[in-house]
Amino acid sequence: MDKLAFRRTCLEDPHTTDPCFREAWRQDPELEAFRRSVLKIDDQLCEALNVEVPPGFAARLELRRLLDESSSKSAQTMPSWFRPSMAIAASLMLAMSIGLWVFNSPGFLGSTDSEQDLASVLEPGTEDAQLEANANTDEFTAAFAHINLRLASAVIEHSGHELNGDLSVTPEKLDQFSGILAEYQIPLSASEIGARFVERCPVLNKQVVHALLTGVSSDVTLVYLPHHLTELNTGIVVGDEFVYVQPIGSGALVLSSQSQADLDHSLSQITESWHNEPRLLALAF
Amino acid sequence: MQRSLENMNKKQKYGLLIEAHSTDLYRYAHWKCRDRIMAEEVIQETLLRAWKAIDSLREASASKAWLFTIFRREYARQFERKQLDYSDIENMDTIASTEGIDASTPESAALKRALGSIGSQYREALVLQVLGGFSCDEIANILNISASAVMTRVFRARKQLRAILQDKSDSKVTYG
Repeated sequence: MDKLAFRRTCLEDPHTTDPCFREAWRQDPELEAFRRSVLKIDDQLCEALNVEVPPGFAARLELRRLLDESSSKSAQTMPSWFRPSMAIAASLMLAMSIGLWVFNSPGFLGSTDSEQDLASVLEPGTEDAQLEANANTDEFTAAFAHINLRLASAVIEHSGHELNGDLSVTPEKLDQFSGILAEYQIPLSASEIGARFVERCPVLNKQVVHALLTGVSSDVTLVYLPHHLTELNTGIVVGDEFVYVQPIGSGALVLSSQSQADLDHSLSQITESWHNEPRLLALAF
Repeated sequence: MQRSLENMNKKQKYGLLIEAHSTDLYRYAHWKCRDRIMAEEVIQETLLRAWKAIDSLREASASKAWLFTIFRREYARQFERKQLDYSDIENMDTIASTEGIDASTPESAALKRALGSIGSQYREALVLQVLGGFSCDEIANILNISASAVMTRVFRARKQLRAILQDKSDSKVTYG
């Protein structure tokens, strides 16, 4: 292999197992130096692009799949007459909305502007409309990311309340936890997730369910905010606290801990608990 | 993952996919999306699609390329038409930002800039080879081009990258 061919092969794939390539760099120090310089840049590039995977990432992937699977099953269990009825109702609603919108447009009956507007509504497949729809999706995601950050901050601020609470575990308290969540149609068992402090408290001017979960090395705060809707599950760091926000039912489940490992542990316990509880999965999203 | 998936059930296959490839996929997604939250979103959608189609996956050795192909399609579906402006979210202190991102050295920052300045078609082939550890044939499948085209792209990417880094190094010697 001549030097030019070697260099080309090396730049194409410095890890190639081609025996001629290997023989060439073993015999020629100049080629060996070239190969080393290529590998060095590759290593540096790999290091530069390396990012840590967020804690609980694999658990969130599994959770999302469970939620999706559960939603599909719920959809499949709808009565056969339900879907056509829903489709007809949705079509009627859409037709009425468009009718009202056209009727209320300034210059209805004869305005060329309103005709143009209507034309743009009736042709949503244009590239501009598609781009706008995409942009709306991004705004939607960004909005819920901010909501999650706000919920996380509020929960952390509220978690000081645990210091003044009664941390003893009693069967009554465990029943109370399950009972409170059952009120929101969330059948989560206190014993399965290691809950030991349960209160109903005000956060962001609404009543929430506040529990303390026993982690491996430190405690994990669990707050279910039934009146705060979110659509995005995220892991967030606020100060020293690691927080995970998960939409569930009509509200948000927030877990907070000073230890990533404990947060992951509690998340796994809850995920495991959800494995056994299809009703809960059906509520999420 | 040098084994057959024939005797595994759907959940076992899926668990194996996540265990073996979620880290590499996250790194590639982070590079591709340039945003942690969006990367995670696209991966979640990717894995949902993978879950639905997992019965078609027969060989474990093909699983990584299969997963990356699904990711690229999902990414194209969601983001190809626009570049996102997520300055607000980027300011958020997410879990991922505590490690890896902020700890980058000036050298790696310079390397990232150099990578950003080479042609996008060359760049992706190189990243798939270096970061994903794919062979030319696998990259060819993922990018839906010929293996010789992959080799050309990777060759040009490395050549351009070396030239840029060499220029920077020469500048330092001259003016530094």
